[in-house]
Amino acid sequence: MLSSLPALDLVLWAVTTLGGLLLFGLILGTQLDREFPFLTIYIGANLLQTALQLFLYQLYGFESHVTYLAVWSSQAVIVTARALAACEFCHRVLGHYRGVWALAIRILLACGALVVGLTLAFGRDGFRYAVMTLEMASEAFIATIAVGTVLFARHYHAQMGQSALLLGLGFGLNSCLKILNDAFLSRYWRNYSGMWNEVAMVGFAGVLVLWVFAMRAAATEYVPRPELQPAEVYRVMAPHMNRKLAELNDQLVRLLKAGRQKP
Amino acid sequence: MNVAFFILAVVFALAVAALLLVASRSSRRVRRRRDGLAVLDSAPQHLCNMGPIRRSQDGVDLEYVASRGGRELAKRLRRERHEVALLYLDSLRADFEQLLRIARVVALLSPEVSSSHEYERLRLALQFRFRFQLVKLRLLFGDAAMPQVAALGEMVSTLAIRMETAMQALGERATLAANLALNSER
Repeated sequence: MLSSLPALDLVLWAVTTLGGLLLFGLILGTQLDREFPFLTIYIGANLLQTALQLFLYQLYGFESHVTYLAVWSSQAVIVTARALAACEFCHRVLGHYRGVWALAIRILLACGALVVGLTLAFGRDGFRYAVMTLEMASEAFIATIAVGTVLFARHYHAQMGQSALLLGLGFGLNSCLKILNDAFLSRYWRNYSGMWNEVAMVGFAGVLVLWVFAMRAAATEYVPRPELQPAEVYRVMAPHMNRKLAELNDQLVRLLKAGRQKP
Repeated sequence: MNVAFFILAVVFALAVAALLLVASRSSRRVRRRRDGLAVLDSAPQHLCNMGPIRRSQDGVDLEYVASRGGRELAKRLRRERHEVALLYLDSLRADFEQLLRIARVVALLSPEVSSSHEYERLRLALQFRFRFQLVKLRLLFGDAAMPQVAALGEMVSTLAIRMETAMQALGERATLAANLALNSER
C-alpha cells in the first residue's frame, strides 16, 4: 500500500522519521529528558504516531474511515503534547524569575485562549474543515505562547540561552507553517492537496534540525539560577517609578503646550 | 473556508513568524551588547552636564554676542546651541532608557510582580517615547523653550537619584543576582 505513495513523500517521510529518531536518541543519550520531559514525550509520541500510521495504511489503506479517525485522533494527542512542550519552553525561559513567570504565564495563557476562541469563532465553516480549524486553533495557541515568551524575555532582558532560543524558534515557526499550510489546504483544496503533505514534512524536517542544534547546545550550556531579591524592593520601587514616569509625561505635555503658545 | 478567515489566518501566521524572528534576533543582539553588571553600573551619565547645558542656553548671552559680534556670529551661536540642545535631549533619552532597564531588572529579580504596575510602566514609557519625539521635533524646528527641557532633565535626574539609592540598598546580593540574570554565555 505504501508503495503507491509518490517517491518524494516516502523520502520525506523517511527523513523526518530519521530526524525524529536522531533527536530522540540525542535527548536520551545526553540525559536531557529530565530537563525537557514534555519535549521528550512529544518527540516519542511523534515517532509512535509514525509507526501507527504505517500500520494503519498497510492494514486499512489511505481512504478508510478507520484510518481517517485514528490518524486525526492521534494528531490531537500530538498537538496537545506539543502545546505542553511549548509551555515547558516558556517555563524554561521565565520560570527562574518567579514574579515575572507568574505574570507571564497568566498573560500568555489568556492570549492563547483568546486566539483559540477567535480561530474557532471565525473558522466556523461547517464540519467539512472542522478538523483543520481545530488544528489551526491549537497551532495558533502554540505560536502565541512561543512568540509571547520571546517577547517577555526580551522586554525584561531575561537570560535566553541558545538552546531556548532555537527551541522557541522551532515551536513558533512550526506552528506558523502549519497554520499557513492548513489555511491554503482548506481554501484551495483541489490545487493544494497534492503539496500539503510535502510542505508539512519539509517544514517539520527544518524544525527538527533546529531542535537537534538546540539539544546539542543544551547539553553543554550552563544555566545559572538567579538569586531573587526581597519582594519589598519591587513593592517600593515600582509605584515610585510609575509615579515619576507620569510626572515626566506631564512635563512633556507642558513643554509641548509651552512651545505651541510661543508667538 | 471563507476568504476573511483565510486572510486572517495567513496574516496572523506571517506576523507571528516575523515577530518571532525579529525578537529572537534582537534579544541576541541585546545579550551581546549588554554586559550584565554594566546595566547597574552605568547609571545615568549625562545628567551631570545639565548645569553647563542650561547656562549655555541662556538668552542673555545671545543678546550680548549679537550686540558685540554682529548678527552672523549670533546666528552661528544660535545654531550651535540648537545642536547642543538636541544632543542633550538625546542623552536624556538614553538616561531614561537606562533607568527603565534598571526598573526591569528589579522586576525580573522580584519574587512578586504586579501586573498593574508593569502594565502602567509599559504604557507610560510608550507615552513618554511618543511625546519625547514630539518635543524633539519641536526643538528641531527651533520652537521649544530650553528652560523646560532643562526641567525635564531635572526630573530624569531625580528619578535617577532615587533609583540609584534603591539599587545601593539592594546591595551585593542583587548585584550578584543581576549579574547572573544578565551575564549569559560568558
